[in-house]
Amino acid sequence: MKPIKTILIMLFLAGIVLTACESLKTARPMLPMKEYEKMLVGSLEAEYVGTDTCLATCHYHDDQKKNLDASTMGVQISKKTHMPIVNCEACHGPGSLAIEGLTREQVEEDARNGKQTKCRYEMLIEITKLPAPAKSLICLKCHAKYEDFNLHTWNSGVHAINDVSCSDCHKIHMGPDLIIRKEEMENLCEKCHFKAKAEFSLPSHHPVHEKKIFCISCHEPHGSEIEKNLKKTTVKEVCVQCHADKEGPYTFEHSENMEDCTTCHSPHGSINNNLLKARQPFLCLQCHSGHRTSATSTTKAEFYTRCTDCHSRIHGTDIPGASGTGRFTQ
Amino acid sequence: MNKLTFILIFVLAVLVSVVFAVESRAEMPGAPEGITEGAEDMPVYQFPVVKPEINLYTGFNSVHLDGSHNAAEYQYLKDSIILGGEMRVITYPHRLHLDFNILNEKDYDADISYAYSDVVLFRFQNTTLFHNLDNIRLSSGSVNSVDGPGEHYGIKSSMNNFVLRLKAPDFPAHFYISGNYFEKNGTRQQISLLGSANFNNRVRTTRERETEWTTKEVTVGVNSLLGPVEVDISHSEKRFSPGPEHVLFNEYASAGATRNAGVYPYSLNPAIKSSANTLKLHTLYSGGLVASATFTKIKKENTESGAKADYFIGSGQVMWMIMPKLTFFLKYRHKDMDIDNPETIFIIAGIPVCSSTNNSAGTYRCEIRPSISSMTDTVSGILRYRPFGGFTLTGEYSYEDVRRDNYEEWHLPRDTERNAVSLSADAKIAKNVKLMAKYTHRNISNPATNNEPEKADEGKVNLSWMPLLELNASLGYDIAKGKSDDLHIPDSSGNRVPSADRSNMKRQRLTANLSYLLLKDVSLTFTYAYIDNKVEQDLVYNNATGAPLTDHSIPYKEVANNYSFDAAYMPKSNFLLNAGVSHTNSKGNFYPSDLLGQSGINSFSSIKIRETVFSVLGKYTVRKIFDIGVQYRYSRFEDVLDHPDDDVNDGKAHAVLLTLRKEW
Repeated sequence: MKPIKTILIMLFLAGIVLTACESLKTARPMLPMKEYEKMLVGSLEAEYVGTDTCLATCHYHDDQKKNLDASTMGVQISKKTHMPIVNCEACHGPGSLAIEGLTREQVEEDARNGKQTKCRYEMLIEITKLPAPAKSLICLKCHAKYEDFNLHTWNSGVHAINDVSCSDCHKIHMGPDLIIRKEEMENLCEKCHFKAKAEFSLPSHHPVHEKKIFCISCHEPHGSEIEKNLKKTTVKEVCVQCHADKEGPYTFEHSENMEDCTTCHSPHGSINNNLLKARQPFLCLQCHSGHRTSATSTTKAEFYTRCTDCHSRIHGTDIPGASGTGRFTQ
Repeated sequence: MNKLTFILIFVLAVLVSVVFAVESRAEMPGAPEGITEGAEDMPVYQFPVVKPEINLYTGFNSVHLDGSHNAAEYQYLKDSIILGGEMRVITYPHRLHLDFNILNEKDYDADISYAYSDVVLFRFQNTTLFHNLDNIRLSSGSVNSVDGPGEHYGIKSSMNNFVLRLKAPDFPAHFYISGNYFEKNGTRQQISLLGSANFNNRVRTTRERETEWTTKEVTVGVNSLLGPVEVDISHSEKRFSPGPEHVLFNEYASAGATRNAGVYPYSLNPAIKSSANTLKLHTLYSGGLVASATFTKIKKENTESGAKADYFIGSGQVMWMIMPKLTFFLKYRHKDMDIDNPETIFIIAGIPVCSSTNNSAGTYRCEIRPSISSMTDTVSGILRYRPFGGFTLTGEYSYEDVRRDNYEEWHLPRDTERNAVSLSADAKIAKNVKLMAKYTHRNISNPATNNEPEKADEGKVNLSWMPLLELNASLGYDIAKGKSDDLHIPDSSGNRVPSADRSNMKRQRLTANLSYLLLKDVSLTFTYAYIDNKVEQDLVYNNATGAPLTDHSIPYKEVANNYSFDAAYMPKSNFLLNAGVSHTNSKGNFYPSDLLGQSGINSFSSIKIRETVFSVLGKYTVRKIFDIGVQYRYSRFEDVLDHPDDDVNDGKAHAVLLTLRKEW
């Protein structure tokens, strides 16, 4: 291992450990979390009443409780208490003030009269009015550890920086396991990413509108090490998930262009065939001079049309071809 | 990172996790402590009975195509019976979810997940699709040959992935194994160049080629909370197998001293094997200071030619909330790419296909340029400031430095530096109006490709307006302009043509969206998008003697307009009607001067396409017992210019889908 690499790694690790220690200190609240939640609902007198008490009081959220029970969150049981770690009050705060004054008898009477008994929901934490980072923090207070590392780069990711919170995409009460259904994904992303939506309507496009591939096939919405929230470690690694026959390495490489497919391709869509950024021969002539030809020669019609009719191995090859230098013809 | 280091880190991670586990479990900050307090006296929680939910549907899909497959690029065009359904069975501690849809034998998907309490989690997903591929006519030239042509080409792609995660109960450790299996089957057009490939002996040929390749990838990993830091360490192996027809052979003419006449391989798809080791670390997410780091070492080998590529990528991110109104983000990434290509290539039975000395039959005399290796460092800092509610100001600066080896052989710059600065504002400018604006300036010194401008400015603005709960409107406009005055276009000898040095680009995007809930049961959505790409660049041609001719400031243009409209009508809770139409007009061309007497050289670049997709859907639920669905989709792809040799052609497709669904 080169010395510079070792130094870099050691610096990284030292930085992480120092930051981690500081982070642990700042992450630990001065008060227990329940006290903060009580303050958020507006009274330190508020009490946790338990999901069953809450739901039995109005029954309005029974379906949501069912979905929670059916999810990973619902089966998180404390070994110490044998009770669910995640329930309604884990996110919405203590519920005693919301159901204050309500009785089962009144709920049943209202139900008989076809009326839904209203609780004082404004006495719970008003999650919709919280700023995006605070909304996400409600989830992150548990999802900060023991995870599958989906959220590894969340905090400095594009979505977090631009005030997108967990609940903007995940329907927290919909089961199971907050998985976003494939048929919903396209609309979910395109409600903000209008430009991508337009590009997927161009004549050459990846089949996102056809619901055959999905935004998350290439992007990691929870954050990424590389730009555009791309999955994997490089642009090329994203593309060769499906286009593995163009992965290489090859003996004759197309300069360093193969490391970034977007040099020549527009991945969402293009007017031009094969998602090309510009049509041939213009795209190729941007970097290469045209072949020798004269004004009267028939070669003009070949050399200044579709270059890949001859250079068919444009992504790289192991066979040198007639030039002996690898011109991607063989 | 060698294997020994990897194993040592792995063992260390597991040991340390054991030491820290109990302590960290007891000190979980941020857990919802309040809800469990006092629960010791409560009885053991009994999971409620969740009734299984099952729905199944069947039906028939009828398709008809008239003309080019461009009209139905991603549909397998065969009438078929369809089948699908969804099932959710929760009997604690087991949770099973199944979702599958079969449209035809080459178009289906499935998603299966199973969990045992929260200690075993398994998920398998499959997506299989069919892609109709081009069968293009070779452009007119001196000689063309057709070697076993196909009528229609298409590939079935099947993507399968699974993950099995095991969690230690009441202990902060995970073990996981995940895998991907990707398969492509079908036929496609293979174009190749025969003859000596000299100016007076070129033969372009086309034939059908069988595609039958697979990619397999397996990743094994473990993660744990080691006190203040959570660590994940994983190893993955990946193999690409190009299938039986991975190389083709043909009879080639002599090419001077490079190649004798004879049979030679062409269009080789090499088998690739690769492996990766990854180490990830992060602090707890809930603090005011959060950091994460990732280190990845990737090795790739082309098992046919012996070409190798090694990558080391290290990245780190820090988020620091200096005060509630001010947050700072810092990101750093280092990428070390080392590509090592061989001096001699052996492909078939130990016979060198290419060497610098051999010139016997079946062997090329060749020159192999060493591939480009490089080191890239990228650093960016972002400052986000919220002076008051509803207003956010963000500033960003990023710097990237690329340093290359073997740059001289490739006529590339040794270094490329990219600097970018941007400023954005997000404001609630009125009660129901939000405005987002962003300006970015980029400065790139010595770009490696001519389609990356040396200087670029980009502006974005997005306005959203929601005057009523029923009405939502948004308007977005992006413009980017860039220019270069130091292009590098080599002549036929590889020397830079100094007279070709200028390029200007301009890109515009306009999007508009309006959603309106007209009545309680009627919703309407209109969208419009305008896409405009323009480049003006010096191009170089070579005349019959090889002298470069510079064609100055040649314009290249592309414009597309997309209009779409959707309407949904739900007169009763058991009756839904939905209709949508999308129309795209696109055109493009470039306009060279007459330096080569080019009348015609641009004709291949002219494009004008109209594409219309119309769909209507009706769904009716009969007495809550079952529902009936009817869907009709019409798509039309129109090649307005009708150039016989280009890669677009007219086509119309109709599809009718009838479904019958039953729920239990």
